[in-house]
Amino acid sequence: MAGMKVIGEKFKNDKIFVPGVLVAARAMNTGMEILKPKLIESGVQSAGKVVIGAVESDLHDVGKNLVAMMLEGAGFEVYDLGTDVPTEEFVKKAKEIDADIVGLSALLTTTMNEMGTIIEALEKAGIRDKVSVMVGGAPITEDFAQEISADFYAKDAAEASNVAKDIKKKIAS
Amino acid sequence: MKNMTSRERLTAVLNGEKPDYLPWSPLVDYYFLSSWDSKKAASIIDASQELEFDLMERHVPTYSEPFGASLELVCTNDVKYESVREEDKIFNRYITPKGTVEEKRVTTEKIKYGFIKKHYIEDIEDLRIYKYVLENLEFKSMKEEFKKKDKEIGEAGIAVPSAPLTPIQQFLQFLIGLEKTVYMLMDHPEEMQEVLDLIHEKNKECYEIILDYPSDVVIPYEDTSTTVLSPNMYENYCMDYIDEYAELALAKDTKYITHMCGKLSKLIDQLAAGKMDGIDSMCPPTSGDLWPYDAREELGDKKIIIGGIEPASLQKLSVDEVKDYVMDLLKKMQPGYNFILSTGDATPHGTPIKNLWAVAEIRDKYGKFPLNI
Ligand code: B1M
Repeated sequence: MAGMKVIGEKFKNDKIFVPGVLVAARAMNTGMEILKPKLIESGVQSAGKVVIGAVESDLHDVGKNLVAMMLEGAGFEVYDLGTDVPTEEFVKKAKEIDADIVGLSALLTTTMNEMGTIIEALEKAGIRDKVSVMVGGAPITEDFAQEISADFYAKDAAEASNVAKDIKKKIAS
Repeated sequence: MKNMTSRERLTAVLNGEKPDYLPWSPLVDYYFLSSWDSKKAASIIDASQELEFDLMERHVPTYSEPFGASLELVCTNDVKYESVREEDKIFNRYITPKGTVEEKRVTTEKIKYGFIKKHYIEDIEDLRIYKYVLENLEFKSMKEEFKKKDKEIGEAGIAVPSAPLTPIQQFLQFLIGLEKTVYMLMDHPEEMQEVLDLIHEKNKECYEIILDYPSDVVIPYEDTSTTVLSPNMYENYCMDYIDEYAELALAKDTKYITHMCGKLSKLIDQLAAGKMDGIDSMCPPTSGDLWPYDAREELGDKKIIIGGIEPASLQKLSVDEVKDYVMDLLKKMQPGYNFILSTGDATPHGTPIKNLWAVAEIRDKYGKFPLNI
């Protein structure tokens, strides 16, 4: 897992590229398959629960998958809903697993507004103050995140994992 | 006063001659047209007239996946192809005596031909079946259809046929997807290489057909960039193939311009050394990371650059901001040799018409060639 942090930093600084991150993530997952039962046995808790997906009508998943991999690498339990995820699916899953973080990804200027709709739906469902919403994707900016009242914006997968860790620390304190 | 038609202007740049004005040729397709209420533009040709741009109509007469080429794929012997629609889903299958490979697509209101939800190749068994498909695949020219469309475009611009993608891009974009391509290259390097080589041979057959179309240029929709690939992968899996295809085009006196709409700054040395005649859809930040004027310094004067306007910016900026953006770009591109002002990939759905007019206005005011602003 510490290795994934190094990978994240290298990726952020253009020292390695998407294929390199994928290879590292596969190595991590192979290791985790062996370690997971032992970690559960010895009572090690996950860093937190994250529901993640690409918003409705958005089929881009490369970036979202990298974010999910980095979050897993940072010890989070990740529930990846895939792409083109309807608003109600995010709400349903967040409720069902008692999520700490809802992660939304959008790559299109035509789909990014779905993020605001999802935040409103979390509010309507009465769980907005229980979850932190993190948004990201190529057209998303800090300003846009604020505009739609998201809690956090992350520019890339490494930042997403750092933000998630900060969120967890805040919840814990 | 303009004294060239759009066709003459584009043809001049493609042939290394001087245009009267800098061509303005955004990549407009049905993604943008479907958001335009105006009844004035039922076709891309109509749009070029209404929005006053020099039309380079892409993918003429078609775009046959997974090769991404403007010709027809024909299955021979005991291989069959079928496409079945079930509500919003499309299942495309190659049925062979060795087994069936199937891709699943999902259609949306805006994207009728659908997007891949499941690729043809998911494991090594599928790769073997696809290899058999390739061995029994032939291509049919669509030259007459190309000529018909080109004639229809007339002086409004030019028709451009699409050339096949490099083998690795066919894996990434259509056949296997990014993650599995990376993993299968690690797990089954020999068999993957065999199929890459076979696709390369098939590509050469495609080039023979497409280079016979009466066009000054062919564009493969490479989409190669460090947005998804590494410079190493470019060097190992793209560069030599691209050089070979560029040579085939050169032999037929046709320009070979690769569409590369992602991040290119980390590939600039390889691109400078490459044999392609130019880069299409060069995209500045934030979707891309290369401004044409920075590229010009690295690539030299000879390579044609098509692009310069980030699509998301074109959609989001105000009219005045668009004008400033384009003015700044033209100033920095002076005198403007071998440059076609365009979008760094498709003009987005919902781009305000007034923003497109704003670009045309600046081009008309300041785009007289050679640029001297
Ligand atoms: C939860 O918290 C977080 C935090 C950070 C988060 C996050 C979530 N999600 C992402 N991040 C961040 O971290 C990641 C890793 O560091 C980063 O993720 P990214 O996703 O940004 O980066 C990835 C690592 C790599 N990036 C990518 O994979 C995207 C690359 C480009 C080339 C791209 C691809 C590959 C595809 N595309 Co599409 N595509 C383009 C892209 C062009 C480009 N230059 O970016 C873009 C995004 N596409 C575009 C378009 C228009 C389209 N695409 C479409 C389709 C496709 C493919 C299916 C062919 C394919 C996707 C395959 C797949 N499985 O994902 C269509 C839409 C489909 C749909 N409904 O979603 C279609 C509409 C094309 C058409 N005309 O039909 C453009 C959008 C323009 C706009 N105005 O919105 C585009 C910018 C291309 C362009 N230059 O015009 C960060 O953004």
